[in-house]
Amino acid sequence: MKFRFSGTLLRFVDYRKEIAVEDAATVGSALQSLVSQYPSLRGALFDADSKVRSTHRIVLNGEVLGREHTDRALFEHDRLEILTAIAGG
Amino acid sequence: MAAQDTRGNGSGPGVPARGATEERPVPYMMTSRIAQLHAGSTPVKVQAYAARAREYFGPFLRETVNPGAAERDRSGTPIPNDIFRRSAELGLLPYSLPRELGGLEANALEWGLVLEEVGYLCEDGTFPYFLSVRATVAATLYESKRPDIIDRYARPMARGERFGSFAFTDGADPFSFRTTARRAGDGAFILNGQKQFTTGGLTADCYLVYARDERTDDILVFIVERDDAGVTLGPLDVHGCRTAGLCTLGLDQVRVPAERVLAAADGLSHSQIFLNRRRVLLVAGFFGRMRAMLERCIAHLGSTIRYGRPLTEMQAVQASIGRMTASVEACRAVLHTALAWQASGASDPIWDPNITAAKYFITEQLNAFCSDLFRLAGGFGYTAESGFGRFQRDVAALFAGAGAQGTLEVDLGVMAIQRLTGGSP
Repeated sequence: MKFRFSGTLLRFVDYRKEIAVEDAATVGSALQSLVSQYPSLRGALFDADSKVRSTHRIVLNGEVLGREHTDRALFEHDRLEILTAIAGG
Repeated sequence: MAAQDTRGNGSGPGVPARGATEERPVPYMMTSRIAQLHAGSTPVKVQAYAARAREYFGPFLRETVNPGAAERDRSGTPIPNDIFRRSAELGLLPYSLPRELGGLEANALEWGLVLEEVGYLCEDGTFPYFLSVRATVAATLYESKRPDIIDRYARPMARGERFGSFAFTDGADPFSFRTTARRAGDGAFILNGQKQFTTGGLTADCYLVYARDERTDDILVFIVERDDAGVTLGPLDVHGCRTAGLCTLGLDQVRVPAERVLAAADGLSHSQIFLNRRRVLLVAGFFGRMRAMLERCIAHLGSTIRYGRPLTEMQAVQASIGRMTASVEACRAVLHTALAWQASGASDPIWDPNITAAKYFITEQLNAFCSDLFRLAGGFGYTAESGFGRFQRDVAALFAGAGAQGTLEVDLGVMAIQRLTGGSP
């Protein structure tokens, strides 16, 4: 499967817009594999309780997943996007 | 302050006294059906609700808030806390807060309409914005569901006895916050850093402070008190909203005990929930002011004679007024729809496209509207007496507040592309 990145989180993945992850059975394991490759992404993506921050939308093949759906199974040609809308005050 | 009936008709219960018990009379809007607007409410109901809000809060605004508004703006003096105390006594400050706190539990539509009418009547256009920030801080503390925090902060805030401020903006993106939190044993933290723009901070006595945990890099949320050792406030000389008490908040080795950790994880989402709910409320008061400015402009043009005729009889002027009226009506539709959407409970609590678009659109319309005011009003518009200049300066705050316009454009675009295409090919 592949991750596609845009916007706020790009700097945590060396501005790579597409990152392939092999052998990830679920969305959660793909995210863990991703942050293993890019450790600085961990703090941006996960909170101190290791949950995906609510500010990120995980989108699987165009479907927005809830934070609790990281157990969704992945297949070879799946595409995961992480969309982030953050504003200041 | 003793209870008094400010409605002028003497036919119903008076307003609540500060700190009163359950026996106190409640504002009539609390018990009236008119306080039950919902997402499907008709424009007629909305107008009736707004009219009663003007009737109820109008005397307070005219007699208490408006006097001295121009001088406060000139000198950059924050709206005094005593005005907020009196607004709490009247039921205005706690209007949207839970009944458990002594509030009226108004939904976003009802609260937004009240803020709009406050903006319409209030010569200090910053007041509804400032008021709603303080109410949102109290609501946020209440939502912690922690009795100690509710009793110590939220309840006295609803009574107008304490005031809170939101200290988020840091001079860096949220993943690089320079305000840090270091663990100090017993669950306490040591905070260091400086918050750059803290609305109402000059006159607040506590602050919701977002700081980066040095150990985990997560953002945590703390309640910092004004009197904590190491806290410093720096007044900011700003372009508009000069009566909002905007300041920097310095934190030098500020020790915050464990019981004042408001969010021990994902403070970033906490901040976005705060800002998302604020966006449409923020513009509501400014929209009310926009209506008032249009009326003032037309009144001036109608009393200005050129070539033997009032300016309002000239077609070019009529066309300009028509354009401004179209802008007002478009903003009204967008604002009320967004408020109803937020009131429905179906909106996204973290980042909602409809609410974001409403804040973005109304801000852009307000900016263009201000230019039209100056085009039409000539020299009068350039005087302080017109209030147009102040309005334009106050509107400028919306370009940065609750999400900078450019940031909102990007966010709206990214989310729309995802929604409409299912993501990048």
